[in-house]
Amino acid sequence: MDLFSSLAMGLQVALTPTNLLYCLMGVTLGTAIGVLPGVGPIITISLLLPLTFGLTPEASIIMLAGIFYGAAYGGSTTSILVNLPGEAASAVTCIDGYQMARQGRAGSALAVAALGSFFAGTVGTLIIALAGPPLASIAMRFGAAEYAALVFVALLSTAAMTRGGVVKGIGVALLGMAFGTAGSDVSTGMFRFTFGIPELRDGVEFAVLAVGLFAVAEIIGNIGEPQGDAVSSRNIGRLWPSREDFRRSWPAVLRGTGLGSLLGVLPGAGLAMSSFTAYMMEKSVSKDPSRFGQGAVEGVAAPESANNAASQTAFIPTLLLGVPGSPTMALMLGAFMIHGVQPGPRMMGDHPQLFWGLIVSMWVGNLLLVVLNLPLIGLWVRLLRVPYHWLYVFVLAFACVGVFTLSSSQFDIYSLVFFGGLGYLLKAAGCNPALFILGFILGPMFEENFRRAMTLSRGDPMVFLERPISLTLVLIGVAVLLATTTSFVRRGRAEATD
Amino acid sequence: MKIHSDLLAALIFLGFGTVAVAIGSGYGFGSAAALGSGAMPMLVGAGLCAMGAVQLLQTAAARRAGQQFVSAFPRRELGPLLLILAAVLAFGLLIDRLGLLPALAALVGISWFADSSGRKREMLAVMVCVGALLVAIFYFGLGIPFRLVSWRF
Repeated sequence: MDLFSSLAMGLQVALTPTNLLYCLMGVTLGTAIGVLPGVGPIITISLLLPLTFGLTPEASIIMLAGIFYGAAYGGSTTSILVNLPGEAASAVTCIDGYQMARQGRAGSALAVAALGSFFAGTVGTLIIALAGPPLASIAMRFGAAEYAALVFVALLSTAAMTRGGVVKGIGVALLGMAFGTAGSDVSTGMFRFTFGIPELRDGVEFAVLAVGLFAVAEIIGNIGEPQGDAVSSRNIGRLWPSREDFRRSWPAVLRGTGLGSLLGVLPGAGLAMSSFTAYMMEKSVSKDPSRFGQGAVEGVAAPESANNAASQTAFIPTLLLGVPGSPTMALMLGAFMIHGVQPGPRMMGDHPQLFWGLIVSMWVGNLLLVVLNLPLIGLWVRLLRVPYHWLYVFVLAFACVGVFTLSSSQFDIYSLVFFGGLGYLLKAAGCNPALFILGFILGPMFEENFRRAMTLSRGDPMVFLERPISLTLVLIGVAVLLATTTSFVRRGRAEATD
Repeated sequence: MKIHSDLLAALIFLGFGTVAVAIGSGYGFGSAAALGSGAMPMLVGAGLCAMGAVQLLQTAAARRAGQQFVSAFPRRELGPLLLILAAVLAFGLLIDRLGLLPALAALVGISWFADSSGRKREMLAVMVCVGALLVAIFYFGLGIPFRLVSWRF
């Protein structure tokens, strides 16, 4: 099937009234939570996971994906207007975006962010569509050894790149893997870590784990934080960028899109990193770096395009290899698995409707964001006035009812208490609970392929080093680990001698 | 000795790692060519213990270097922690016995006090709003057959 007929089929799926409605709901909800500080895409997607059981796979994935990229959008709106980044990915937009707003160029900044994001989203969608078929045919040749090595690299490099140090990163990912082994062993049928509780025989319920670790634990942490409420409504100014702003921003949009598309594919890089890197790059290629921080339009255009491009290309490893590169993508993978769809190289052939429908829906969603958001800016800013002590009560109630609907079992609610407590402990220990989710999702995948590879090689562990693709992957993993630990050791020594 | 975040991480890793190895060994490691059900738990558990040990050594080194640590549990977070978890627990205990609405009322009533900035009169309004919204979304919107109010002990 050629590209155009595939895209046409995707368009057909994405434009059915139901799917369009869910896409709209997803991006609107995504924008809203992107605006609200303290509620992010990870929390929202985990809260909605229990609800997607009743939908078709297409509708639920399209909606969840809409939340993911819509949030990046909403975050930029508040960054520009009130200097409050709703999301980490748009924190860097505050620097120049808010300055532009203070100079009365808020409308221009918002429009550049919106148009840049749309352009980047379009390019990202095209990259997935173009890279998909060839990448899938390479991945088809992956055996168990390659898959085990791939999961190993994805986990290791994500763990190494998160804040808080490599040791904590690897530790918390391993902890997630340990929880992933609970339930019946796929190969032998033996029950592991079930402690005689029948509900645990199918393993720890993913949606409960996600809601507990993110929603419940996050609320506890946020209440402790002192809340700043600096809400000001200001004149937005004219919405269309001036000719000068256009001239300055389009090269920045191009560079940001390129960089973001690249970083989005890498495991562990994530949206925040792509927008920060794009800002830094823009500053270094600029003829007059002193303009940055004073309301330079490039400082809005580049990071906004970069994080939107990255949010699209992040789907490449998830959809084509079945290996998510970030915690949010791990949640998306969990959503696919809830519907019995295993993302991977075979997905394009087995579920073409879902695959191409999702890709085209992302493009449609980006268009909806541009069209809907600019007129709704006033509403989004007003949303910031919702006090957190109303919001968390609602989120908590939603979390409990949503989890209870999974199987109408009290055990799920008690698990929620457990994972809420565990999530709080992990945060107190400076460990990123998002890595826990990644380990939990990737752990069983690793175990299955690792055991199969060992069986096929008759117990010879050299199998991971003898096959070229697997060897390359293992080497990359070791290199990432060495790079981070050596700099870490250096820093540690420097601290000790100081 | 204050429990600071690095020490807490080490304790979590060592604790769960030991449990994983101890219980996992009961499932059988198998052989290299036929790894058993216990292989993965034991390997992961061993990895956790190793990370815990490394973290512990680093903490000890930092302590010798005279680094000051802050407690991982600030006092102002303990109240919210217990209240939020208690609110969820109360929901779980009540949902089957008294039905959805009383369980939600308990949830809101307990979790409200986790944040000191809300007033009592506001709480009733929020309780009504939360109840109405959730019933609208789940009961009417999604058609999930909840018992709104019941009496089963």
